[in-house]
Amino acid sequence: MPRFACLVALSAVLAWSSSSRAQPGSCPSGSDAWVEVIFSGSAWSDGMRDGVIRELRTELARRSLQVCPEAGPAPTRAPKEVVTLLASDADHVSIVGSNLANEGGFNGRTILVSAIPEDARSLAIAQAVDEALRNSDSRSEPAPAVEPTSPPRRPPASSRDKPRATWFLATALAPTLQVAPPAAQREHAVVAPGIALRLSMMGAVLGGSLGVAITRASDLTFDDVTIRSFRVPLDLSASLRLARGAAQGTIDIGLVAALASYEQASASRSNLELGGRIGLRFGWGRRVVPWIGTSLELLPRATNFEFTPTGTLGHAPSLWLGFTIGTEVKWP
Amino acid sequence: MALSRYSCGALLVAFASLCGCTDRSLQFGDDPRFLWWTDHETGDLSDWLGKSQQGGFVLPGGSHVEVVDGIARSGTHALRITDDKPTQRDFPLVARNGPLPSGIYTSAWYYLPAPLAPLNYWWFVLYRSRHPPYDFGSFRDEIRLSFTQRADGSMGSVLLTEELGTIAPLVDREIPIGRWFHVETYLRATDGSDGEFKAWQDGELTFQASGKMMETSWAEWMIGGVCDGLTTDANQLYIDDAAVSKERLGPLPPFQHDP
Repeated sequence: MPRFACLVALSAVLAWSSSSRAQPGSCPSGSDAWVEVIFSGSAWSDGMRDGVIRELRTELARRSLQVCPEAGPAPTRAPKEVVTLLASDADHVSIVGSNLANEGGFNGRTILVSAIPEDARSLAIAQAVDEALRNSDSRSEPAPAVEPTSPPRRPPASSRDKPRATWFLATALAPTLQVAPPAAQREHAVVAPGIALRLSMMGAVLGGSLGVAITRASDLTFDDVTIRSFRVPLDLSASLRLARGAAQGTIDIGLVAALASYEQASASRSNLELGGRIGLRFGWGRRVVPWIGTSLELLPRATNFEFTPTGTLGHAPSLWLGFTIGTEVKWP
Repeated sequence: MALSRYSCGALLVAFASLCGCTDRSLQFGDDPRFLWWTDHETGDLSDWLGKSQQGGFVLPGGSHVEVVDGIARSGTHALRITDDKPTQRDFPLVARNGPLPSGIYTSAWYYLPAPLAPLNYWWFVLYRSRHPPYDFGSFRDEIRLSFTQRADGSMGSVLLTEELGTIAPLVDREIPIGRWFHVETYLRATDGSDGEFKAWQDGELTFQASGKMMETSWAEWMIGGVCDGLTTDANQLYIDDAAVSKERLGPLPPFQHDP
């Protein structure tokens, strides 16, 4: 849903900002050579179609080729080439150098448009079509006797050519379940439900995140002695994120500092427990990403509970497992 | 990720500074399993006489019951029982008042610098019942663990009860000389048939009896010495790290004080 919304928004921006919007009426007439472009698939928006036609006309004008979409007025002369642009989903556009409906066949190329900034997708598709047509020309025409001496073509300078944004911010809010397995002197597991908040700054692959969890107080039971425990773990992690389409997996490795408060009878004590944390998150989406995650916290310096006159009666959990399910929102 | 590393360090330092607490151990005061305990580090008998609402008392008889430094299991002080009347019956004892809760554990560590050789008995653990009007004369010595001499000449122990007579040991353990040993007992003090008594030496169950244990359910715990006479000059018993608890403690490490 957000992807389609983006395409619609992009087309609106382009319609407002561009003075050279493609018009169906600008299809060639007379003896001009032209290329027919057929948009196929359900993922095209009107704005994106217009954008691709506009950019493609700019590209092919250098080679004296006119461009006409399938829906435009039919020129009197047959097209020099027919290109079908197939977009069945918002992530991919396939370029087929033939008319799919009438001729069949699939000899084009597919480009992953979801990896391209939205405001540069039209140009990218147009350039890919131009490249496909050049390859087609080179296969059907004799090679030139002399290599062309013209300088390499430079892409036109425009706002679309600005470097792609490489960082994004993300916020995730999720219910979490923190579990400490049984350990020596403590027969029962500790289960503490709560809420987790995680802020991330990510590049294409690497980044960092800051997470905090606030959990409900829970009981640590040692024989017949019960200690009330409340803890707020805060972690700072390096993150590695791998994405394939809308699917993404993230691993967080970092340090955790847990502010822990313990109560027994009328005595209340607090301590800062330090350790390491590793977390795994799996999500699906682009701007709004539902995700599920798990984590492991190791706290080698877990708090000892000392009593007079017996000394240490037990220890705070040194291992916590976390299970979280929630939603992440990204900017931009 | 250098930024992350420095940021993390700064964050943790700031967090720790705010909290002001980086110790690994937290002291919570008295162990909730204990109803009463003493390690004698006050240097006197005040823990026996008070410390908890139950209170207690000291019966020196014609001998000495005192807290001394030198030989101790924890800290520097311990209770020393000295029988100064080797030719007659004497009863240097310390006690915790009754009525003790039904189903109670009592424990202490004992140290004999030399083997004791009583004429017939040296009760070192004693439960006394008391009946109306609960004054100084209305009691009966019900259950007692006594030092004995084993066939090989070493020291052992025996369980004697008013209601059930002499109880054979489950395990006949030697009483060590020159080494601290732990004796813990459990008493469900009822005047019916559902009473129970157990004793552990250094964590091993040595005596067990069930049935009517006492004349009444009013029980007092006493340790030290009730002795009918001595055949040698050895006359001292040291006691340390004594406790009354809701559950079995076992031979715990030496008691610790608040840091």
